[in-house]
Amino acid sequence: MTESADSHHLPPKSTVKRWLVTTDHKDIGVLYILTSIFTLVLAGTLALLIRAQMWTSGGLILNGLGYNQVVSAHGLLMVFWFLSPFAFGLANYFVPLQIGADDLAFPRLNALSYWVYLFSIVLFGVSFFQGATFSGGWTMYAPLNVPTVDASSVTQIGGFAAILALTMFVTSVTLGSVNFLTTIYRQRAKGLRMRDIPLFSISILLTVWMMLFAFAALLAALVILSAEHLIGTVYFASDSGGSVLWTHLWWFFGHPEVYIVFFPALGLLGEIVQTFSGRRLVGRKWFVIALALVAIQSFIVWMHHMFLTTINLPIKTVFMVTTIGISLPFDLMVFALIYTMVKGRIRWKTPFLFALGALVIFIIGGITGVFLGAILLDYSFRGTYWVTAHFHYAMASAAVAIIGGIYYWFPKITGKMYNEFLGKAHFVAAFVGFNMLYFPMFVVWETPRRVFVYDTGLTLWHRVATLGAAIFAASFLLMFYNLVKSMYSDRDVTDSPWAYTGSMEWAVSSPPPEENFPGTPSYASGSLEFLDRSATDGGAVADGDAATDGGAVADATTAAAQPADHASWWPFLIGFSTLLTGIGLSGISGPYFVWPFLFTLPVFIAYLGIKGAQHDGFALIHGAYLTASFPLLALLLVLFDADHGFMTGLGEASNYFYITIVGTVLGAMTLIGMGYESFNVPEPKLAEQWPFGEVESTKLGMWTFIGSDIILFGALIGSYVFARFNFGWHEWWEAAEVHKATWPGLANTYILLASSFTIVLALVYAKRQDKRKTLGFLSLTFVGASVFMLNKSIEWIELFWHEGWTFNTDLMASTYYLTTGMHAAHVLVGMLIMLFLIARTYTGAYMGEEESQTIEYFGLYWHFVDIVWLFLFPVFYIL
Amino acid sequence: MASIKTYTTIFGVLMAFSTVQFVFEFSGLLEDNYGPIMAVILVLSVLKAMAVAGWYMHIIEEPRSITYIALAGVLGVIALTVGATYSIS
Amino acid sequence: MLGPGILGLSVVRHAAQSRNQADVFDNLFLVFLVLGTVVGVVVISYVLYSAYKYRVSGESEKEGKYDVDEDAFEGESGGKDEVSRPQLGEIPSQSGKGGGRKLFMSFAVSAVLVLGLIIYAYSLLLYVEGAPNDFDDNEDEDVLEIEVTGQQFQWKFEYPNGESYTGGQGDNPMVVPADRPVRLTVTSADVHHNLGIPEYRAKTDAIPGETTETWFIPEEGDTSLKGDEMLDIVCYELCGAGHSSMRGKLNVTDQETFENWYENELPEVSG
Repeated sequence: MTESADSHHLPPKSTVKRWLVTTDHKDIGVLYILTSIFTLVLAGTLALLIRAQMWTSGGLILNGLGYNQVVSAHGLLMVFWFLSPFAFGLANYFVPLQIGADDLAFPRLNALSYWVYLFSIVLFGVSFFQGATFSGGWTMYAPLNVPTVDASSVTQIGGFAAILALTMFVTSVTLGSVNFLTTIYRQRAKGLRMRDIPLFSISILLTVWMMLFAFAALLAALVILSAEHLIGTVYFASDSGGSVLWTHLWWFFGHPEVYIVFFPALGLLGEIVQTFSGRRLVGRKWFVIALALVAIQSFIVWMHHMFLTTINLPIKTVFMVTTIGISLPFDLMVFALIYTMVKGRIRWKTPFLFALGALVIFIIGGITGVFLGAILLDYSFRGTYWVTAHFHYAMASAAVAIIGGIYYWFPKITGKMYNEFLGKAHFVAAFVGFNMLYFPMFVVWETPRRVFVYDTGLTLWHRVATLGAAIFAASFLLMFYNLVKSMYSDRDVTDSPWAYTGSMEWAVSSPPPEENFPGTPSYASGSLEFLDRSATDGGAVADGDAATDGGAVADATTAAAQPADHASWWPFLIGFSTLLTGIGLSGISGPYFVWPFLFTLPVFIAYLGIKGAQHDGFALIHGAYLTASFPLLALLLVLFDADHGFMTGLGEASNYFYITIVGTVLGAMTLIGMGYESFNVPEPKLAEQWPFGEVESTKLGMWTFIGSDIILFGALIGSYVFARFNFGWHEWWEAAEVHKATWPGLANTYILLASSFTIVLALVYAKRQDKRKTLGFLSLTFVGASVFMLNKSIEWIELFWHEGWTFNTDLMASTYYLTTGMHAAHVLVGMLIMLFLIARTYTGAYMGEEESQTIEYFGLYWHFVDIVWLFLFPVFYIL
Repeated sequence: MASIKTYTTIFGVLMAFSTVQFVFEFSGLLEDNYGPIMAVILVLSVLKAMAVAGWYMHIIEEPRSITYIALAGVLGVIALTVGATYSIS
Repeated sequence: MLGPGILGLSVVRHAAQSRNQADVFDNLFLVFLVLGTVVGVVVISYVLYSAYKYRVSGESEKEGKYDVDEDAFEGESGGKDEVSRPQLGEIPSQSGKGGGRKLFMSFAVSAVLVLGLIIYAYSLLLYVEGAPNDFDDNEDEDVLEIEVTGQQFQWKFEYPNGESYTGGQGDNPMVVPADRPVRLTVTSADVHHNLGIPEYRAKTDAIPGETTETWFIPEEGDTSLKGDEMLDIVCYELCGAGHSSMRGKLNVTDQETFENWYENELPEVSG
């Protein structure tokens, strides 16, 4: 152990270091909220620029490209970087407090989610200064988004940087989804069944389910788009359905995204209306069922965004029906909220006002949305301000509800009450400003969207909207002033400053203690109790007498259990390395793209040796890694020399090339650093875990990750099927001018199946504590993977160099290289992890029933990669 | 955990199925009867995937809810692929 | 609800007689607008009324509490509440008592309303989608076929005789004769555009490598040949830096003027 024992304790909140190393969910929640508010200000400023431009027809301040950038960046930042993170700031803080968890299941992963999110904003910010940022609209329609179509544009580098920033954001969201799912399923207080968790937590659960699958589809789209930029594939640039393919991928993600943004707000509306009406939510069960129905159905409505593309009438009909179907559960939820107010004891506090405002706004957004469900009206509304007005009523309703949530929980987070008068003033200004801004857009709905030339007869209404925007924006200054000032006031609050609260976060002090609860929370007796920690940590269920309401017993000795760690530098550093990599890739030229990653391999292997020696004591294996890294580096240098010429290659490489190398190398080292860090996160001893009681948290996390990876690969395969079908299924290979590589495909199928077999055997022997055989089978798996990669390289080199079938030759080449390439990248990642496992096994880790679980988790990943190949083999090599 | 014998049997079946898939193409059977043979090849892949998931990833020993997570992903893929492809047919 | 319902019915009858997309749209939009406004006003009024009617005030005396005192209400309305109040520490799944029947009644009403509207709207859609086929079946209709290609940032029109030209801001409008159905076959030469003629509610995507269709029937007097009153052809999909100014023009003439233009002027501008 090189790190001192107390390096994982949290420094005080007044230090900067605290906020860089913290893995505490409450700290990270606060960081999310602050960062998303920063994004709100940034994207809101862009909105003001839009409204300023619209002051007169023809524009006031921006040229065409400038306006397109502002419109696109406003949309992207608000939808992705503001709305969801704003809600997830609250979710980070309150979901564990509401369900009785000490923290999220994977605290370092949570910190990593945050830092990747933060640095993705930085990357987006950088893109503004690289000539121009992305300017193709937030829906990024193809083929305007690919470089070959818009080759002369100044948006090349900045536009791609924004795409990479979005890719980083998707990564952050996926990690967060895995984390929240595992937490909510595995760490609920005893007696809290899934249906019992508070509404906000339920809405977050359903949100992360949608995120897990929807964002994986977006990731597939972004991977393809990045490939168009980096290696010149021709999916979207192709005349063969490329543009329609993008709309399918985008909206398959995009429609669930609407509910992803809105669900947390619905949960909050439920909480706030319930509390401030002093009445339990009417029809709660039906409210929850309606939410779940919408979450599932959201994946089969996407084509209503595509009614004017080439899709046929039968499918339009199907999607019209599903679309109308999905509006009905929302009716039920709205009525449930309304009837909860009836016979309530309603207090018009600021949170309630915002909830009421959000409800009214949402009703208008919902009704105007039904218009769009009628295909015939949709035809005319397509691309007009009707759409803009409708979705701003829907989306901003979410924002307004979450702002209500901020006021609702502000006393809990800070321990101070905000100023009620200023809060109400904020609401009035915001509500008036909002409706002045967006209602006129219904009136002038014939204005084409994203266009600053309009019928001069509409000028007055556009000016009203611009004034409304100014008022709406200014209202937020009241909120900032109010909240900052109140934090330093003497208006201290008790555990629950509001009447008629119900859920657990109101039963702890304000602000909550670092360990969240005064004892282990439990609902086993029918209502909330905090049980003596020492008793519950020992595994025995404490009886009711141990319960306290103030925490008198909380200090009881817990020496038996190792304390949980709360601090780590690695998430911050890994996040930073992704920023560098992102900046680098945005401007790197195609021929150089792969080299930073290749050059990182020897560094990875060498550093694995060094870190391993530090952590486990020097062993032969560490020396072997160090030694092996040098010939590997030499080999790569020789190859680089052959590719570019050593000196000329390095000389001609742009700065972006070097920034990428720094990023990938730092990324490799920090990932290893996190892998070797001992970081204790105790699994809850007393928790409700249905329906995953027998599954450990890490295994559940791995399975949820695999669930999202299924969509990633499935969307890539689906894109292939779509493209091939569109092209003509049987003509596909004839048009390709190369032969299917069936023989190498078969060989690789054998190899990969064998490697699955050997990794299973490694697990069997690890459980039997047979180190020699475990090591042997792990190494054999690694060898199998190496042979697979070697065979794959020969296949590629044959097709690419000898037959001249390059990435951009045709659609067949693009789909073949990218899909099998993504799979190969998964194999490579698996190989790097195996090197880590082999080193650890060599020094004695993973032996026995419990310890071998790490090998099992890796096996799950490896078998999944195998299964993907089982489909790629017929699809790309036989049919 | 199943026994090593079970794992070996499954490995044998997986290799055999893969070979059969290959033989369909190599013998020209696929070309003569494209539709039906394509269906058979894909069904074999599904069976192989189920064998790997069922025993190697021991999904049969896990709570059924783990299977549902994977199935949810598969259903999403089917919705996207079938929906998108049908829409242009 | 009866009033708007009757209004809706009379509009339906009217719409069925009309031939053009614009009329179909106007009537359908009116029905939705009237019903939507009525529903919106009723629901929002009820929300605000309830929130106002059931409000209570007063602050608790307890330090650190910034809300009403729950205990102060004990004993009101005969001691026992007829509705259930949230209590701190309860299992949060408890539902409010009552309201269930009202909830489902409201839900059922809204569902019937929405479904009715959509079925009605769908019948009109079938008419609009089917119209081009009807033209083909009906030998009296002499459909004018124009192929339109979007390209950054103007429209190219190709007429049946093979002549074509591009039209940008005001110059080189698309010319069509009145009272003759026009079918546009639309594609794109570069990026995703969307062609729309607001006057006729004709709109369709212009997608590279794909063709889509839309149609309209211009009427006498819609524009004059003078040029100052020509109709707009607008791009409705963000297509690049010049998107805002991607406007074409449409000129509707009488049959004779059109034929003259078609024979003599069209070959001149073609190129």
